[in-house]
Amino acid sequence: MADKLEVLPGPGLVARFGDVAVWAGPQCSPALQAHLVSEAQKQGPYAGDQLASSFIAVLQRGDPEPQAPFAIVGPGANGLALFLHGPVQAWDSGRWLAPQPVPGWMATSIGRPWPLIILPYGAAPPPQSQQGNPFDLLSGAVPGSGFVLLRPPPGPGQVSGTGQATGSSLTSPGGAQPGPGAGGPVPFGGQPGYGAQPSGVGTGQGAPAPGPGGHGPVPGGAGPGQSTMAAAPVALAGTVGAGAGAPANSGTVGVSGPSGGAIDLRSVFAALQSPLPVASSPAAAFSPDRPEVQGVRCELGHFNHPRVTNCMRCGRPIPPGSPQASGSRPAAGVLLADDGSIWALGRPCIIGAEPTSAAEVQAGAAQAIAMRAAPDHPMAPVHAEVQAKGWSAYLVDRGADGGTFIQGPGTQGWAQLGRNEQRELLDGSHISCGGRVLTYLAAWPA
Amino acid sequence: MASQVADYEITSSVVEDRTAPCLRARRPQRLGGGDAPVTIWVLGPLARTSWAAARARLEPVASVHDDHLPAWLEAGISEWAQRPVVWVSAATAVAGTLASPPPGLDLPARLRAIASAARGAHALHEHGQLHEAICPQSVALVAIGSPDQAAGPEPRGTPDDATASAVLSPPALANGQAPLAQVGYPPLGYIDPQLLRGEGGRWSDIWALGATVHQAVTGSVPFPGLDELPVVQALSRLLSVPTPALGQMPDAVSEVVAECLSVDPTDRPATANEVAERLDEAASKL
Repeated sequence: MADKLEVLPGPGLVARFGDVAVWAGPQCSPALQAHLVSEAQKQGPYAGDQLASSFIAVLQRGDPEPQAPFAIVGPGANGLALFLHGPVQAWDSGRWLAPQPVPGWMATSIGRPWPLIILPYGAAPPPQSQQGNPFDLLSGAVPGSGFVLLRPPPGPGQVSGTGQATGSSLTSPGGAQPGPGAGGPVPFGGQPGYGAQPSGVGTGQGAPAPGPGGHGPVPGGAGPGQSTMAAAPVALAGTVGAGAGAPANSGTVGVSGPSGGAIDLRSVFAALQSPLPVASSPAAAFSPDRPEVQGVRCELGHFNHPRVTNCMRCGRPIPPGSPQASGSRPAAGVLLADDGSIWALGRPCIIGAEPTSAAEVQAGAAQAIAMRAAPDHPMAPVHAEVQAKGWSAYLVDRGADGGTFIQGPGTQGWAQLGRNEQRELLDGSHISCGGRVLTYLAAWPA
Repeated sequence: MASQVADYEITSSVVEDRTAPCLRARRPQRLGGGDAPVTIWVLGPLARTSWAAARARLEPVASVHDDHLPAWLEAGISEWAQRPVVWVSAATAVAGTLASPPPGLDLPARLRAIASAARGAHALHEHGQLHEAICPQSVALVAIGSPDQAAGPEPRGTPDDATASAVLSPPALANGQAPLAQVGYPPLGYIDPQLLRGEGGRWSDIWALGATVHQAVTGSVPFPGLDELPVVQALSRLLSVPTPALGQMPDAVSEVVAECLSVDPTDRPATANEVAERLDEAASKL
């Protein structure tokens, strides 16, 4: 794993050895922390898969610490193997992953996303991209409330932003060593409990001190050019190479994806994700990334806009004057794009030609709506944004050439927003940027 | 129609659908397994920058191996009709879909086909995945003797010999990271209003199964006139969480359909497997 690993400040433990990184929350017992650090030192081409398998084997006999949040990331048969346990969440540059129900556990394969963010369950994502941060955990165990894996910094002669891995680990030769007392392997299994003789890391002393050299600047640093991230490169499993010799005559196409090949779905790593909750489960109402707003609840506790008269979830009446309460806001509405895609406006939506380059998208705080410009219209990589505030939605110009336009419901003509201006979207408002059009539909009464 | 997708030689079209064409192709020699036909779904068009998101959507689905899901082979991104699309191939030989069922596929057989698809959905749910595009188009009728898995035997019959066995087609993909849906696949009448409101779950696929059964029995979606509305108006109507208007159905079917289409997700069958069992039971009574 040549990726840059930035430790997020706070309680807990982050460890990295070669290709494997782990995070253990402060709720983990010292024995479990020590075990995780020990296990992280086991290297191999599929160390992530193997670590996940060893933990699954234990959990299938009974979970010794169901409330202990921890995460393991390491190489697997299909990119990165990710194992999450307890109240922890991971952002893989396209979605939040968390065991369902919480606490629980899940194992999956995630390619090689940038950024990959590991956080306690329900924690707010780190602000902005961490790309400019010079700190990079090369090896060792340090205190931390989570971590962010980013595109590896370019080495000498490398071109920034190509997405090419260096092919070598960031483990510095002769440099960092495991944190103090990380010690040898800790027994795991046989009976409930993570190691009978916890020693070293975290033995009743809280989080361990950083290992020697564990937290140091990256040679060469991270250039500003790296802040623009392309889509994660495709790690091929069983590359097909189809189409390489396909004739280019009309009606014949060859595989020409970003990877230069197809992905072999026969060898996809079996994702051991937890079953989805049933509707009656309390976990069914969970959403980790929704802001708190004021609203009213029906007699079954479903959270609604303060002006509704019937619950939008179950249809039960909500009498006028019902007491307001704070709750996790459902989607404010949907965006209908002119290509037919429909987007729920929960998190902000970044619209542009390459919206995944937006820091908010990389940090997991926004979703990306990729649109190609219409002929003769400029579309910036990050052109405009639609965000929800309270129960309302707003269109925000992101300062791109070509401008951002709005047409209110029932009105004629387009009004251009000033640079970085924002305007409220009403039900039925149209948005135009780059010659493309989206329509906002409110999910709640005005 | 293009004659080739990647190095798959297209032999015929299983489903002429604008939003999710389903094709029959020769199996490339490099894949082994003889010359048994394979099925290819074309999804999109998508922006090339959406490939990573499409892959992130397809891989977890493909990792679920079940008799009621296709035996996936590969996925890639290619030009199709001069636009980039994602294609997905499977060893399962598909003979058609419930959107245009072959003549002679009676109602009990159609219900059993939907029950098969429901079991496929259940397998996805049990592995933490939603399908989000269940509709008659995604209930793929399997040819007699089609192998259940890539390593299985070759089909004994021809792909035109549809049986009541069915698998669930690929989920919908669309531009960007994680859109709710792409208009047309599934059609709006099969989208759970709760999903549109950002409140989706396995109950959303169960709602779509109910709508699919409703269409199979009555010939229409449970919201009369929805298909005739402009898309914006249709979406607005769905966002208001309307109560479905159910058509005439045999008693054995109407109860399970009504439950699947309940406004309150907690009133719906708890699992898609429960839907499958009740559909099989209903089919046996018809």
